[in-house]
Amino acid sequence: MKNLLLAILMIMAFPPLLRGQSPLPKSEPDVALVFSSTVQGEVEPCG
Amino acid sequence: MDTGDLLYSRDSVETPNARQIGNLKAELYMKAYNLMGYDAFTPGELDLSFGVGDLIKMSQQANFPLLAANLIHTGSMQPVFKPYVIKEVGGIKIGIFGLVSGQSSPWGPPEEKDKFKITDPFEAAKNAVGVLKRECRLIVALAHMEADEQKLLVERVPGIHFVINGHLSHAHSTPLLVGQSQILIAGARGEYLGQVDLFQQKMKIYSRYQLNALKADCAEKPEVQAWVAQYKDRLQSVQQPLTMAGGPPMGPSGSASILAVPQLLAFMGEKSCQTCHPREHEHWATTAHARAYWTLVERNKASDPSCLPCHTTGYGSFQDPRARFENVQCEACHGPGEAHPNVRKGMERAEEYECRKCHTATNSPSFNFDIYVRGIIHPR
Repeated sequence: MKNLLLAILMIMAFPPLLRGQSPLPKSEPDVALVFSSTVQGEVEPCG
Repeated sequence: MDTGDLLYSRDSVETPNARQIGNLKAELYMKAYNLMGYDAFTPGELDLSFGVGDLIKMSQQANFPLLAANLIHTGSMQPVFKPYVIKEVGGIKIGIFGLVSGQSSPWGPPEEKDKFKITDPFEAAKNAVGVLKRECRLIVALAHMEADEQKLLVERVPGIHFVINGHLSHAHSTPLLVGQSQILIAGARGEYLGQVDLFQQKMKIYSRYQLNALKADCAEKPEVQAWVAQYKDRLQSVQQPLTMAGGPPMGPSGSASILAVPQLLAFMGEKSCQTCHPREHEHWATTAHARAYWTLVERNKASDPSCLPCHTTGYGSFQDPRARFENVQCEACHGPGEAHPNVRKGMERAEEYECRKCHTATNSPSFNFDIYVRGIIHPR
């Protein structure tokens, strides 16, 4: 019981920074996944 | 990354020299993808149009792996291509695996019939995720699948963070959320690039998704321009001259060619329609449809098989694969007319979705069915 109360107190004192909330985005991502799909079609506009 | 239906097109499989032309185009795309630094590619069913053998040969020109966990050699039960690849970028290990739809089957020449098969994508995904989750923080599925399949995939196979979809043609600007997974759909024809930015903070990774429209003002790479010019020259040398019936109201006319396939209805050409429907024909001759082929001729595109289906009548048609009539004629909207004179049954009226197959956002950005249809409705 004492441990549980201590844990609750700690959470209230130091709320989890990232739990379920978006962080302030940095200007540059660490990684970017870039993708395309179903590209088949004309190589250039047909007219 | 790319999720397939890139290299080949099913539209022109039945047309003369289709395989040679298809491989010319595939080579061009491979060179461009090498230049762009692609990391992985998963084939779609259109990439199997000329058989797995052709795709294996083409993959030898790629500087990146082709991924397909469920396309296997029937005899050895081994995957034809790598099932997955692991990339470490920005300190994050990412596992990427590929899946081909379980609802498609390898096409191709008869000699391939029993050599390759597509196995259950969900089982293949479970195996791939089982391996990847041991060392990767993020797992990405390149899934060339139907919409219902991809939802089942994330429901049945936990642990996939992103499903990058191929096959579906309508781009979604936001991810589809299914449980803890995001399904991302960048649409068709290279109109968009999908982009997931990943931010690492403390022990967590956050994502932000955006679709980037690729517009005509994107700068051209000189080497790609040179490759495209080379492709067009080679295309002209292998494309057989088109023998067409019909022709524009003014301009050169082709020789008549009605090559019906038995059991299927043939396209007859506008001259046949004109016999009984002179008023309708006269009106049609004033429309842009009646000049559609000649816009290709003027732009030196009349050899391009990817342009012909929308600028001719019957080209690449399943009903009559060898039919090819200049311009968008009566039967492009109403269907092949072989049986029409005998049964005296009214022809189908074109529906909006038929028009939109060619009047896409890229080709016809101002297309509005209600307005455009007024221009082609003819007197009865």
